[in-house]
Amino acid sequence: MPIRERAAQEETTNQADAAARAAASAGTAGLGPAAVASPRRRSARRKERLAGWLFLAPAIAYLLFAFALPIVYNVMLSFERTSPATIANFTAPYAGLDNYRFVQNDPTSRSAIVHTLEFTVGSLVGQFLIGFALALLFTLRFPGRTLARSLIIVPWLLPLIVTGVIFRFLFQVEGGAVNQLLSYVGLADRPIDWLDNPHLALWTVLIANIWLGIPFFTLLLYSALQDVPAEVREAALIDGASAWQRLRLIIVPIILPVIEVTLLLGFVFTVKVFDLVVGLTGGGPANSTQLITTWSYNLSFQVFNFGQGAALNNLLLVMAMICAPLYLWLSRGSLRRSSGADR
Amino acid sequence: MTRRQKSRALRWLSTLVAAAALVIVLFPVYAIIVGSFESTQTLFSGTFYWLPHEATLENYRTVLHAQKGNVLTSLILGVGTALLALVVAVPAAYALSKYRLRVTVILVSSMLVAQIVPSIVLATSLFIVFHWIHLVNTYPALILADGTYAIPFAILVLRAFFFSLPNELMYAARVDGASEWQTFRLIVVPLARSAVITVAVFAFLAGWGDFIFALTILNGSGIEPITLGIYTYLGNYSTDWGAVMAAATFALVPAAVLLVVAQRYIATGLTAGSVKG
Amino acid sequence: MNLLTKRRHRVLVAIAAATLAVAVLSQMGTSAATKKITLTEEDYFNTPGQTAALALYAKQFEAAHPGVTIKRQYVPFANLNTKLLTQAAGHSLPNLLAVDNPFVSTMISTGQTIALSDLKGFSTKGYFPAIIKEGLDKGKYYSLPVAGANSIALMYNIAMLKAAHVSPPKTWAQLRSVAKTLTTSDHYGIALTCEAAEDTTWQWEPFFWSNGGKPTFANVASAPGVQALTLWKQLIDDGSASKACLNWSQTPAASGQFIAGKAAMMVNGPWNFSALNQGKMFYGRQFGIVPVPTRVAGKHVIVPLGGEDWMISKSGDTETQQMAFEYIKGMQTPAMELKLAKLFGYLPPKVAVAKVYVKQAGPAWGVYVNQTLFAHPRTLGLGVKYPKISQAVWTAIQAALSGSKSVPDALNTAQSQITTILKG
Repeated sequence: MPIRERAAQEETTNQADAAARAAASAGTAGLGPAAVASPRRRSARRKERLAGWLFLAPAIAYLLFAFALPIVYNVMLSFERTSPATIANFTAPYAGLDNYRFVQNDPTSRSAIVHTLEFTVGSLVGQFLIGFALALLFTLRFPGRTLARSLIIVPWLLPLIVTGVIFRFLFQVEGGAVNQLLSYVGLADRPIDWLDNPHLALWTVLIANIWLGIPFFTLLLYSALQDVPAEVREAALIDGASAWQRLRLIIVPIILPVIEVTLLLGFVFTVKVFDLVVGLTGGGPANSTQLITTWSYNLSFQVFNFGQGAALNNLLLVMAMICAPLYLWLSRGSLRRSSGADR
Repeated sequence: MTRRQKSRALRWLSTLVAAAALVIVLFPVYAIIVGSFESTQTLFSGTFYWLPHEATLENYRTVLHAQKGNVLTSLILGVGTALLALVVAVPAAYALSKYRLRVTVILVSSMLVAQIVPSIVLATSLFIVFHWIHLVNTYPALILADGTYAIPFAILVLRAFFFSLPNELMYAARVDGASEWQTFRLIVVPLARSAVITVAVFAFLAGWGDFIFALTILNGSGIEPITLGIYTYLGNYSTDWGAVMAAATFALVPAAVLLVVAQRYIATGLTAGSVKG
Repeated sequence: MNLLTKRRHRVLVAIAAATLAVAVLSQMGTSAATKKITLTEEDYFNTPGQTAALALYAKQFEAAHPGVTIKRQYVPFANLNTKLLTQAAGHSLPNLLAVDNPFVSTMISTGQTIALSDLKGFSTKGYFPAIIKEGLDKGKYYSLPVAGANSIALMYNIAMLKAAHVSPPKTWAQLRSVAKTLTTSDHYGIALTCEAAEDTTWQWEPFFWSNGGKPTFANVASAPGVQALTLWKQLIDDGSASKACLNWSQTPAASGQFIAGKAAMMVNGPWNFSALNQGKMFYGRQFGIVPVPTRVAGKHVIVPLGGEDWMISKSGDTETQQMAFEYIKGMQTPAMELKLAKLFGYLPPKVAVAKVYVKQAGPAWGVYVNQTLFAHPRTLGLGVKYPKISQAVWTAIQAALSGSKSVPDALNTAQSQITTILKG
């Protein structure tokens, strides 16, 4: 076949493939043009699909095993009227939407939801800013850099109960290190009741949570920054771009997928924080630090309304189901490029 | 200032800033180490001592003997969780980022939904499941449970890293006749070493620091991770804070060593030197 | 040749059969005598004394019952109830469980525990009625005490009171003024417990109940409750009690304050005796005990009944359950009761033994004996409703003491919740 015709045929096939891929990665079932692709392409794609499924098999099996049953059970519970008498049976009397109505009307549940959102947004902002700053810092070559990078994970080596205890210890009204420091420096004339004041307690827990999240953001963002090829950075330098411009226009777009997933996962992890709050305040004082997870635990295991606890917990599932399409939409460009839509 | 002087000043400034950040970040840990050398009475006295006051080794004497087995148990759980996470997550992340599959949307959404379920909710159901299949009180059960912290997270993170793997490498491998598995094993995984190790570190820490699954799934089995062991000193009728801090400090050491070693491998980036231009 | 082989063959077969028969018969013999039973047990006891006592008893029991092994698991106090509920959901409770007494009703209602009164050898003879009634449900008894009972009273630092020239308070007005006088730059007048947990309600109950408060808390927003909570609020507002009580447990946080000399008084129980002694505080020399003050002089003090109870779960066959009961029964002998009560700092559960104990244990027990004898079991008439009511109460206490609600408002909120709970 003359070269021109062959090239034309390749062109058509490429376009058809591109269309099919675009349709596939948007999740629709467009098979039309691909069906007339050459046999070589079809078998290659079939090989890929098979390989893809094989690569995914352990993960799918694990998801089904570890998550499917608990999620289904929890959803079922939220529609039942529960008590210690029913907990030993898989099913209990049907309660319709009563549990959800309770969550809607119960003042503590509502404030728990508000606290969770405040807490999560505050944590993410703090953790991201500090984590990113540290990650950028670690990309510079300075003496002690490797040691510093290793030590930044140390907060995660502590069991959460110990973290809760030590922060409680440090933020004590009298004799706590924080108040002692503040009085040395002269910033506080009276000791601050960090954990005993219903207006302050949530912020104190927030500080502890930001501390806890720094290693996560720092490490992930640092790993991503490693990906930025040195040539690109140098090219921008030569072009005379300022550091801020370099950051905003070159580096951030390159590491954007990792930033997106880090914020997403940071959100997911923060929204379900439990042990830290229990260790620090137990949800008090006066329920001022109740989050969705802690109040739900209380509903289930303190007053034995397992159905209500489940209903409150399911709000987390709803949040995840909102975040998922949002994240997928944000990262669709990356997926398209990565899975070879330009082949 | 000359360029070189400026960059040297910048380097030392960076060290200073890093040191300051570390001081703040590590201060609570420092407080624990100091506390581990103090008696419970000193800890209760209502004054914070910046250096151990009336230092004592009593706490370590209590803790070292009782907890050394527990530290080993926690290490096993951590390594087990890391291995499980890698085996399950790395191939899955690769498939979800490099292959055009229609289930990508469903699976990525499922990961997010799965990851948001609090462990306490999972613990109850997993306990019942493990009881049915007679797996309670075993290491595999705990490792499988600890995987819930790490696996969806690992898949999502690695997927994001894999996005930036240049496709030319894989096309080249395919053209050379490599199978999908060979491409994955010999080209992709070594290149993603940095991201894989980062994720393994997180998975290790998840297994290492788990409390709720250990509490729920273990019943007098003789398996006791350090997170449960510390609770021996935290009771309703007596609490030995000094011992708690000593146990925490003691547990820090092996984990820290392991992590410093792992960190050495996160030296190079994903694609440094592999693709020109 | 053939004949010899045949005979040898028959002999060999005979020997084999005989050996087999002996083996089988001996096995049957052994299994009848020593069937292997493992008893699993969960509790939250972690003081060295308690742990040693349980280990020693387990060893004695195993020696007396060959083939039986006791497997004990310690579960932290804050997590035991949750773990038991999870295990109940999975139909896999341990054979033996030691639960805090307000939780007994809840465990009964899961349906996963068995009635001890159905087992051979059960008897309620000689026990204090209040202790035994904790496990009574529909005419059957589901629990027996572990080490006995306890309650609370007012402990005070003798030296500090002497230095301030005050005597231990008997009324609320005295409590308030004494606490104020005792507050110096070194220590508070009194250490309260007002964290978001049961021990807050427990500590407030003597004040409320002795003031006309109903055991069901049905009148918590009326005068008895308002007055009792106002007293606590005044102690905090006066500066006599630290607001940090919002995060303090009864033991070890509040008791730790007292032992460290940071508070002159505290409301607490006899399980603290060993910790006090370790802190070089001895009854009559460093610390003294009086009943919890009442609003007006001479009123009868009603305190809540504390302690843990053994229960047996449905797990295992009837033989295992009976063996578990033997384990519990072995602790109910006078000798064991005396030993355990001493180790735990409790009052023995049988009247006669308690009398002996008080004589042995000394004057420190004087106040506690009278209090405990007439203490009120918290779940009586309330069952599973008690934990919910308790939460409403401690939430109100926290709201009032932290300043986020006024005393009447806080109690009104609790009242409406409690009315709903009592109705349902």
